[in-house]
Amino acid sequence: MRLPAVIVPSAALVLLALLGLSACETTFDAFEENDRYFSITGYLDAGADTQFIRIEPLRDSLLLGTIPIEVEVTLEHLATGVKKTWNDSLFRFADEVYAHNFWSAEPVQPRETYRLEVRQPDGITSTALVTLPDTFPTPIPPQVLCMSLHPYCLESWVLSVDVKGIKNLAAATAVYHYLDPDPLAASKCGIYKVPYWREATPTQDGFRIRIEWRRDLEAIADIWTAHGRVPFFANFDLFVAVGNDEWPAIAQLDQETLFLPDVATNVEHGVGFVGGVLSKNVYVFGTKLLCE
Amino acid sequence: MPGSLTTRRLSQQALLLVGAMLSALPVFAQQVTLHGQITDTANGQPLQGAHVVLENLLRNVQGTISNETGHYELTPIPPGLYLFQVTYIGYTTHLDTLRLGDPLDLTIDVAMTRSSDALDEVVVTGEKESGAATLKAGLQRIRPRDMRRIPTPGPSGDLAGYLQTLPSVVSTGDRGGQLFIRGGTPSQNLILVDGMLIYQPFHILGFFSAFPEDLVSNVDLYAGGFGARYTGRVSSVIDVTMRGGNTQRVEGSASIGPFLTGVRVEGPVKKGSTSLLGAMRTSLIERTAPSLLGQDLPLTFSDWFVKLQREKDNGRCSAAVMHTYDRGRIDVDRDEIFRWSNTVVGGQCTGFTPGSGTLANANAALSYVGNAIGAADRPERTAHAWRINLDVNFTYPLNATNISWGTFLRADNLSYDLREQFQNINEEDGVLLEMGGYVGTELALDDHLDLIPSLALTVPFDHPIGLEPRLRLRWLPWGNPKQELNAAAGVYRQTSIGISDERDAGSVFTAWVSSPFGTKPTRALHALLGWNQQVGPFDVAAEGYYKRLNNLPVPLWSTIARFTTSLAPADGTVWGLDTRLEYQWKTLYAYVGYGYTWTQYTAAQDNFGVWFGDPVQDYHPPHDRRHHVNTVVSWTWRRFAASLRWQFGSGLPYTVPFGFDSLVPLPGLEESPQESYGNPRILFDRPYEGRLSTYHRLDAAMEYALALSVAALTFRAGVLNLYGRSNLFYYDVFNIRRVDQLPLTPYLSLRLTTL
Repeated sequence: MRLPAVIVPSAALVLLALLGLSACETTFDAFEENDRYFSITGYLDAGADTQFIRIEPLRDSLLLGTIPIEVEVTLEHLATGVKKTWNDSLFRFADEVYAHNFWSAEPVQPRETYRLEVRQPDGITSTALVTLPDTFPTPIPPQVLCMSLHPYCLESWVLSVDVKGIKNLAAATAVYHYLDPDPLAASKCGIYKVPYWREATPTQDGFRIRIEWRRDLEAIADIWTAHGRVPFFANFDLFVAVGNDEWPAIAQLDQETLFLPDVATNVEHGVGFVGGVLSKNVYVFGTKLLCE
Repeated sequence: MPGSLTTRRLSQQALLLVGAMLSALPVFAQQVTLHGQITDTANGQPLQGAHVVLENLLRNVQGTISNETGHYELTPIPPGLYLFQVTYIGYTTHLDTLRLGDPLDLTIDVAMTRSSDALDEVVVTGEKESGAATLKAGLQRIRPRDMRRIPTPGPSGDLAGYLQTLPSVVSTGDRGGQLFIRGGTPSQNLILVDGMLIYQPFHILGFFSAFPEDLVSNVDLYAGGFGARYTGRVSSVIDVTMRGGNTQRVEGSASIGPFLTGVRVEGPVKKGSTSLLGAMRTSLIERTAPSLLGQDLPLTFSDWFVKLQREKDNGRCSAAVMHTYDRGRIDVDRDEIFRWSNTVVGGQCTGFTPGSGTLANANAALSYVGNAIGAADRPERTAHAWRINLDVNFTYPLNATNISWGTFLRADNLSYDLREQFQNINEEDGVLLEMGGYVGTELALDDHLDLIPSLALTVPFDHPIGLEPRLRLRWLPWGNPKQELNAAAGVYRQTSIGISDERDAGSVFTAWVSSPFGTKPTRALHALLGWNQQVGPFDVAAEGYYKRLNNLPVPLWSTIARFTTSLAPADGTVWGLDTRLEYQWKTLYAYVGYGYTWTQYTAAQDNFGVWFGDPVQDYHPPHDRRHHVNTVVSWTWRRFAASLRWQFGSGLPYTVPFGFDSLVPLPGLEESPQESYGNPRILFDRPYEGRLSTYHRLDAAMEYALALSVAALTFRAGVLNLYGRSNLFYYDVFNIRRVDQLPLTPYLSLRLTTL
């Protein structure tokens, strides 16, 4: 049996060509070149003593760990041109879970606009422009005679607080301090926070916050009675904050959407979001002296 | 039609039996029906695709082709004297003279004898009954010899290896057993073994399936456009007929190689009529890989199959059990262990009803698949699906046409515990009931045109009633099968679907669920148009196709680094071109196939609107391999056989990341940078905008059969990935590393077969 003359040389040529293809291998780089350098997350709070902003280079892995960062972080007050340099702190959240938080004790003012700049020595820079909201009157909570789960306490279970003179409610959190029944606890007082900003209802010039304090105290009690201990309630504060004009859009996004890289961001050449808020702590009931 | 031989191809989708031959013979009041079965003398196995021809003294010819059970039927035949001829490639032609007229219903079975030199000398005329270029409106018939031509790292060929040489079929890697046919996903393929549903018969090592060459009699692959006989899936049909055991004598084989070992035993229970066949295989590659490949390949699979078959004068009954098991890690460096197993048990009977000439077929089957991921004693996610199926099918000859109809009853029990992998379906245990039927016919409008319309009716108990009209068409413009045009179109729907996380190429976990979108089942529309041309020893087939898919469940896109998500509905559009060229010269066989596929999903997700400005986004899913080239060359010379296969595939889509960070959620100021690390986030670009690198690979195998006194010893040596290319399987963006397909892999297998 003879093969057609053209078959053998053709097959040899094809085989040689295929073997030659093996030399054409290229490495594969899954990542896309881009001009987004830093992840910047946090907020400037005109009511806080110290400002903290999370600043990290974009990692090339999901793996956590210490990532060196060599940057200068400055906050410039646009109206005066005054620029302050921030400090770096490496925070440890768990084993092998670290993050760089930059901080400054320089106060920031309501209604003012600031530029946060993160610059590497080679000139790579990411920036965020933030305008802080206007101030607002400190809310006045109703007088509370008692706040306890004991039957003798006949106070209404729901407590309403009006936050007036604001457009954007950034936060409304009930903060309960209680004496920690755990004798080995690091601090005397435990803190239990309950967010109420989602349930806040708009009023003519602000928001009304309805706090179901008894439900919250029951939740605290449940945590500890499961361990055979009874916490002693000490103090109740309400933390409220007003947000800048960008805040409502941020607050209305669900977490899936909020995490999209190009959606909730005001960072140039980077990802993340730097908000502007003014917060106040409103005393409602009790004393923190027990915790001190 | 005087003076020419005209045969009618089998109609596969709605009919069990053959299409009737065109007849220009005069019609008499008393017509004769001739039927019977064509078998192999050596083992009693039915021969599918044998040409059966009656020729009268005026040289008027009437003919047909035997079906998958070897049966044929010719009707109506005017009484008279005829030359009766049966031909089959590789067998000695059977010739006889018949005087037909009394009785009017006549059975003639023919046992054909192999011709020792037939393979070397046979000249193929008329229609080919299998081969890549026999593609006709999505249908391709696959025979064991087609599988044998593919270099597969086992002792024999395998359906899985063969399917991956076809332009219609995309495999995303050499592990996982996931086959995508013309844009459809694996769970949209209807896979039948002897009429019984089997869910995941393709093994975790992609060269192998539960269908090795030496157990398969015939495979009908419909890449689309299938008729109403097949319901419940929207993409394709792989209808496998397993062969029965040898009815004449006991025989068997044993094989071993670095990838797997197996044994097969068969023989008569009652000589000449009843046979039993049993076979089992188990993989060895997990143990041999460290020395063979220099790396771990923690994949294990096994399967076994038992079939009892009884042949009778007018038909055949069989009972069969098949079991498969797969376990392993797709990615060696990931902890996820995937496991799945199939069990199928059932029986079928096929035969002619006495007197009427009606071919009847009945199937009863119980099918099970179990899927799990995680440790064996503590799986993270599990899913189980059971199906009981009963169906009966009839083909009734009416003049020169056939009327076919059937009815079915199915009950599915689907249970799964997904541990919030998909947030809108979590844990459930439910039953789906569905009944229905179909009717179809073959209309031979003239010598040139066949129309095969069919209609399926499905009545699910918890979904709306569905009507699925379908049409297949064959046109011979010059009345000659050397040039033919084929077309098909139809409506399809699927109420129980397999869901998997398409975002993770390293995951093969599949859960079968009822449609997650209420009463909206997954639906599809197919349209195909193709041309076949024979030019001397060359066969050319080119087919364009279109599929429209609706209500596909796809994972909701998220940038949060987690493995749970919700399912969202998507619509799919598939366009493609499937071209094949086959060459056969004596025992030299060559094949080139090129496939172009364009698959796009359109999904509406709320976060797309915020992200991209439009809630409706188009993207190409991860199996959208745009270009696909396969070449196969095989040659047999005496006791030697050699084969080469080269594959090329353009890169598969993937979603390009541009970094990772952690994000502290700011709404409500519930967390702050100094108190919380935040949530790890992967920063993606638009879904599936990137393409992985192309892959290509050359596989080679040589075989030598050594005849011993009572057995034949076959050596099969070969190399996978002959030029050792590092082909990317997928890229693990979470851990920044590539997962490659198999490196250069030599192997040597031995098979001992009794003579």
